[in-house]
Amino acid sequence: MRPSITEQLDGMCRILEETVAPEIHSGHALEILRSLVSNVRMLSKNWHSVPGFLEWDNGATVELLFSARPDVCEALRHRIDAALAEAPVNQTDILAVDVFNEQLRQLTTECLADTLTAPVREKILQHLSARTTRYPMRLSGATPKQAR
Amino acid sequence: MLASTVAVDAPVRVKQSTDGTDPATDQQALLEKKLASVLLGELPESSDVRVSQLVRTSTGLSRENWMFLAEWREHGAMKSGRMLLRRDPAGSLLVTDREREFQVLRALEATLVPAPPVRWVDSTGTIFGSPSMIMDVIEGSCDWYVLNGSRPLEQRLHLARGFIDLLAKIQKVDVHKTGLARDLGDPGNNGAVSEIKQWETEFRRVRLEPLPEMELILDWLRQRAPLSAGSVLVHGDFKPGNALLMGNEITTMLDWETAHLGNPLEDLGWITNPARAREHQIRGVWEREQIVRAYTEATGRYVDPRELLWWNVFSCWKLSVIILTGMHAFVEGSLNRIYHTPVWMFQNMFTLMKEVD
Repeated sequence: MRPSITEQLDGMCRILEETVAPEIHSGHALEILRSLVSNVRMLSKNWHSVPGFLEWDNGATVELLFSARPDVCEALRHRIDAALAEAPVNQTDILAVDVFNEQLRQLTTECLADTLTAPVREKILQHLSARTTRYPMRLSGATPKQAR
Repeated sequence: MLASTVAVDAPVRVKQSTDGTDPATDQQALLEKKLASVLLGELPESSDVRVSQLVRTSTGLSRENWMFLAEWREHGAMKSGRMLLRRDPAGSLLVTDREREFQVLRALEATLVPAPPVRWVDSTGTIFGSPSMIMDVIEGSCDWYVLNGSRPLEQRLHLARGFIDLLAKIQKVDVHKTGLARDLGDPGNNGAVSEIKQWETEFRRVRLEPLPEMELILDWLRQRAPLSAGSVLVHGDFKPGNALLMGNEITTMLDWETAHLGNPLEDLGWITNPARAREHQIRGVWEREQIVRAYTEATGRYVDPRELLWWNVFSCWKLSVIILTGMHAFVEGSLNRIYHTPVWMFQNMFTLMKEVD
């Protein structure tokens, strides 16, 4: 499939920077355009990591929820069971995997508010910490530097 | 003076050009006309008020800033001044109250704290389409990263000390005499709890997805919220990016929209927050140790290292909520900047929490 997704995103950045930006005379609009280009560049670099990241996060979170399951109240335990029973089978359906991720993270949030044992709580913290280092959608350098 | 005392036409919003032409021109002229009408009511003994050179500046992430030149006749002589219209945008990183900011700036006029003189507020948006205020433009330049810029180290250290001296001046403001305790509300020794409540409300309002990291950290903050001996005026976003410089001196502190009364260590926690080190610190010579020592010298206050770490975590959490507010506004279509879940901030907070525990 050509141009590939990455080629299309990179090409958009080139056109915006070389053709559109020189025609913009408002400093405010130009700054916004630059921030949009930065974001498209980030997407170009990282979009392909998203499916793998979600698959890893879902797998690890399912394990955590199993660990937390005995500690939580009955109602939450039932909801964990129901969510795990509905796990998407097709890992290439990225939208379904993303929705499942949100569901698992909601359950994790509720587990944290419940009476977890210290080791389980620590395991969740360790996973959340690992997740921050693997998270693919991160944009740096978004703060303005220009003198006013 | 309140907006209702000024007779002008319907509200106006200037839209950005979207098709290569300049559809904003007519609306810009209308905005100039409205500014002139407002100033005619505001400037004492004035006539022939003219507004020109209206331009939206590229700075200011939370408010629209429109600079303009005002000229008017007063006692037969022409006068002029550069002014700024600060207006709430449709979407923002921060949802704050212009009337409250106006009250703070008015109160500061009677103190040693250098802040821009304000002239007028439209707290309901009756005139300009959204809440706005007009203030004088103070000469000076703003540089977010001045402490790590091209100036010689000696000058940068002088500025760094200047920022701490300015913070001390802010904390010495008599909040009762100036009316700030009445206008802003005084949390007493519970500034930390008060701030947690305020920013938790904002977090619940703007979050778009489950964020167990934020919940876990919030729980940690709640369980360890420190008490203080009393409250002081807190700027809320104290940084070089909100200050104006003339040569080697700080002339004005800007952006008082998050000012409130609270714990004396709150602004210091913002300054010493490792996530903002590039703005506030100079590696090896102006780090936490030196900043805390300078603060203690300037204010006479002892700084408990663990309490300061708590405020560092809170600063990161608050900043995360601000970024989530930007995300929310982008997704609802009212902000033209893209923000992402601040996961890098989560890592900073986890590290700081370990230092406290």
